[in-house]
Amino acid sequence: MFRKQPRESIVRLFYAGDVHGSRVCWKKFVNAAAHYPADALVMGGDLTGKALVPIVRHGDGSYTARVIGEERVARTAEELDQMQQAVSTNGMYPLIVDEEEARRLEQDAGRRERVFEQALLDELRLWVELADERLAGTDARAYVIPGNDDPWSIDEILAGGSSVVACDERIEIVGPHEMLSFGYSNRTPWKTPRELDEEEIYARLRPLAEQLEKPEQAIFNIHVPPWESSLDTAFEVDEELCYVTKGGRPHEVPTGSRAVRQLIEEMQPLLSLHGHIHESKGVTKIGRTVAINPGSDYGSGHLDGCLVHLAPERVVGRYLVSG
Amino acid sequence: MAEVGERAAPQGGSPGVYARRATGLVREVSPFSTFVFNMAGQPTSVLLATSVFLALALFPGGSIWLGFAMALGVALVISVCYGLFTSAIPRSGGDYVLVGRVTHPVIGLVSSFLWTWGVILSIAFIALAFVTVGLGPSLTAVGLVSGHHSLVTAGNELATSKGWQFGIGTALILGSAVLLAGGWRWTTRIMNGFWLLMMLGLGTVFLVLLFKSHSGFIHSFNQFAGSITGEKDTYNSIVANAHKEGIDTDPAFSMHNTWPTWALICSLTLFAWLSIYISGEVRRARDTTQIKVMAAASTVHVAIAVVLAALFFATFGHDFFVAVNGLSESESYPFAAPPYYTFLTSIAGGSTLLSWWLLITFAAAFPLLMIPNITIAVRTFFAWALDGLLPARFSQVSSRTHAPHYAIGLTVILSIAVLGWAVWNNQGFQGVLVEAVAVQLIAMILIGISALLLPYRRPEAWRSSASTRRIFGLPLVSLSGGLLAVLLAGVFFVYMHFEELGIDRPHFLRDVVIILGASLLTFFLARAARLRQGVDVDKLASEIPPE
Repeated sequence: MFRKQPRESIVRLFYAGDVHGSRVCWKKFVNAAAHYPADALVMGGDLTGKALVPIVRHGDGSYTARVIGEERVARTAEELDQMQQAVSTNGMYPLIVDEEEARRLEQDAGRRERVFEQALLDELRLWVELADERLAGTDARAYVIPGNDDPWSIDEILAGGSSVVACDERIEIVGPHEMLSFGYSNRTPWKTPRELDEEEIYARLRPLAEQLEKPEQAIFNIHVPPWESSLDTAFEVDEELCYVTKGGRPHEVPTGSRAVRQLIEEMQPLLSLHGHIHESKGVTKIGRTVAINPGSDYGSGHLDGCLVHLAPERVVGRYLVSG
Repeated sequence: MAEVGERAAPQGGSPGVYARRATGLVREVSPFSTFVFNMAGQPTSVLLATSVFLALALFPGGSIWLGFAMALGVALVISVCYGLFTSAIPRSGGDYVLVGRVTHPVIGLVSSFLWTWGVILSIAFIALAFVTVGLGPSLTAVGLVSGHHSLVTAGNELATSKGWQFGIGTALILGSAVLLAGGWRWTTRIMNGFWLLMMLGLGTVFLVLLFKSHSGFIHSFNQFAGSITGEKDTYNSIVANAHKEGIDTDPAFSMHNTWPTWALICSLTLFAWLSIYISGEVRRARDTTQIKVMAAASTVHVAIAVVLAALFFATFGHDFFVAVNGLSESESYPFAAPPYYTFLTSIAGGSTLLSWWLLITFAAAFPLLMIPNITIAVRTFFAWALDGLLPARFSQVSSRTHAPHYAIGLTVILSIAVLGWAVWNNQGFQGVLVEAVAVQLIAMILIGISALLLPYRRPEAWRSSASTRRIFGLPLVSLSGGLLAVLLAGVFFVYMHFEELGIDRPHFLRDVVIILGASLLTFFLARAARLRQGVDVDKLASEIPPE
């Protein structure tokens, strides 16, 4: 803590993940480059939100919606704006509909699915434009991967950015470091879009890692944390998506990937960045590798992230922040 | 696009939330699990043994019934305030973040220092009380009931020897720390076991006293006490002796003495909110279920205490129960064991086996209390290290057990040092307990003030929380926060005002000033050190401007 900073070239990296549709968190992620400051931004997946909230427009000009279980009414433009913000801060997509459309959505699952996807893609387009605009004229880039929760349709939008670098299953150069990125997770009870069996994860990761010229100086940006690393502890969930309780308490289990752990143990990169398990915030070491999961609290509008100062061959400092 | 999953049932005029399949969208933590989580933080058996015993002994005429009702009132306000506050800022991990985010990071740190000092004092209190309230008197009681004098001697030795107090207290701290260092899974299983034991013990007390008549108890008591006192009617002689010593066994109601009775009860009814640490996402974490479950845990906790206290008075007899508690510190008291309910229930049952069972189930409450307190201290040190305020090694976790060994080690060293101080400074456990409660009250008052300010300092977080309800035009979270701050300030005032409660005001004020200075020094030293490393701690602690 009190050691004097040695004079060596330092790359300042800001990592965050699991913003799940929270626009305010994305804005903070982009602004982190100037705030801390940071030379590079890394987003570790799970960009999209989990729920859509219809805001129903009524004949008398009022709007109603259920926000976190509370029935809310907006009668003015300002109140409507606040209602939309409240929905979006919780990582959900507000959708203004009339009473007829609300009924159709309620009855037609296919329509709900289409509307949800459209809302999700429109929001992400806005995010990429915003990042391109704010990072223009700076050297900072936002390296972004999807996570297991993100639908395939977002890849095209991410690839269209100029300051946003879509880097899933690729190796990018960040300062003197190579960065390997991977957005899939192992199997979950939710059966989300980007899940693979452990063998498949290893089969995809290992050839990618073999392309690294200096693995000991590399950064891993892998959405799912390594198995039994303390970065992957979550309450166990059964097939009905209910918490498993033992002795009256929710049962905690490791949920990370064995393949990712094996790869880290074999390659021993300098730094390994992870997300996926929001409540398992922490820093640990696997051999010489510093592994970090900054957690996520997107629903409160706070961006949990990690500022890492990297010298070519060592991690100089790492600070978990909640901005 | 992922499959659109279940839909929350619409209520009222608006459709619900359309959720797709995504990680973390769990249904809920079962209300029962949350309930148990909250009950474990304030064992009912310790509340009955310490609060009722002390209130009757120290504050004649104080109504324990009104005290229970008022304490429940404060606990319910805490449930509403904390429930609403943490629905706006979930997964906060306690007062440090809640206060820091709404007011200022330095105030959050001051609050955290106060809270942690209170927790370290509580650990010392629990360790000391394990010997002086739990093992010592219970062993003496078993010895008396069973007629084994060696157990009476052993119990007395435990309760009075500073060496035993420190040794066994240290063993309890170390045992709990080793358990935590071994991983959370085993810790929770063992905690569940202790909780079950404690509840079974209370259930046994309930059944024994329910089926024992008042006259039956007098008969059993006289039969038991006769061999010690040589009197035929020790029961009535205790009441008579109390009158001779000026103890009014049927005192008129005194509001003046009800205030400290309330404060004593509050020391073990204000902590039914641990469930804020276990929340799912989107639906349950941010709705009002937490409030209901916290309130239910407080209500059941107080209800069990009230029912059992009523049974004590009915079975033991009102005058006798007041007399025996009032006499317990005087020479007229004929027994080596204090008149805790476990002792009197053992006499009522007249069984050695029952007295051993009550000893075990009563003693189980102390490790049950110890483990969450050590966990809170460890988590705080861990969080400070993550934020750069302590050296990074305190945030390291073991790759084998995933436990933060350095943070656990720091907690153990500080706790044992404070236990040593508590044992040898002759203040006794009551003084330790009172200072622990008083500093934690300050931290909780800061949470109340932060809740009051939430809608004005962090309007976006408040608007996205579970309830934006207003009463008389004021946000409910502000009203509950303001009310909580006032109520807790009232409890704090009572602790400062009534010397019988054991607070040493000059020492307490000195300790608060030291904590305040230490927190500010830590903050500014850490800031200077980090600046030399090219990191601005102020920016690490501040919100990133979104625009």
